[in-house]
Amino acid sequence: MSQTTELKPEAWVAQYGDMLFRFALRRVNDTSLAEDLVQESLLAAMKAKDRFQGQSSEKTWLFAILKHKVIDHFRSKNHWATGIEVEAFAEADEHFNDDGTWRIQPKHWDANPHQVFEQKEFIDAFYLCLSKMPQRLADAFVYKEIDGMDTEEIRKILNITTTNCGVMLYRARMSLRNCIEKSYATP
Amino acid sequence: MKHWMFNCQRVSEKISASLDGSLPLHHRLMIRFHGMICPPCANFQRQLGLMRKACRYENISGENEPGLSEQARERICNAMKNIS
Repeated sequence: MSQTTELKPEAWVAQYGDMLFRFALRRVNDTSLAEDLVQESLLAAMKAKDRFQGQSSEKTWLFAILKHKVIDHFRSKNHWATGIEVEAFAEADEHFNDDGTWRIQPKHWDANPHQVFEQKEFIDAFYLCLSKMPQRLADAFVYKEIDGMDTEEIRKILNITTTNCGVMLYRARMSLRNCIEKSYATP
Repeated sequence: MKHWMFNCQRVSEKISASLDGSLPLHHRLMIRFHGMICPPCANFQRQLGLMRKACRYENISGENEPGLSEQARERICNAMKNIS
């Protein structure tokens, strides 16, 4: 990506407003809440625009901010209809027997990788699980996969070693997939 | 102790590491070989790929779905002007 990507806040609403809104609406199923999330995201982007480094496109950057807002929204909700239990986020070791074989074997998820976002059940489970994960693990995962940071940047923010960063990302992925598997209906 | 290529726990760690940067080619080949003989690990690898797709997706194919209302559009523009 170009290092000289220029932000044009005055065009954000016209250019990305509908896309951001549709994304938010699919996650929260509430028009006014979705509008609020878009507004919060664009205001947060205005405030953070000096920190935009041009590593991603303007659109990807705005979407990343909105995704943070969606996760924060779910995290702040007290009521959970899904019954996702804390055990879903067990230590990685607990997923394996002593001989290194899976204790509970990962299943085949039906979601189509080319249309993943059209599969609402899967994405709902994904965001819900992400927002219920222990905060530090979720942060490591979000920095990596949503913000597109490299291991070195994540390591600095979380103040951990490179090795620990790899371990945290592994634990985050193990936890997240375990939680999704428990809550996402697989055939 | 058997080689990591035959241990699902070690393979799962390598699969995760492969998403974080450069894993040597021979490690990636060993992961692929393991996946051919171990459906659960192949499923695990596919699951991590789906999670990555879920994170990165942003193009909503929904031209027919409603967009931001005029009122919301105006409200957001005004709020943005206030802090610029």
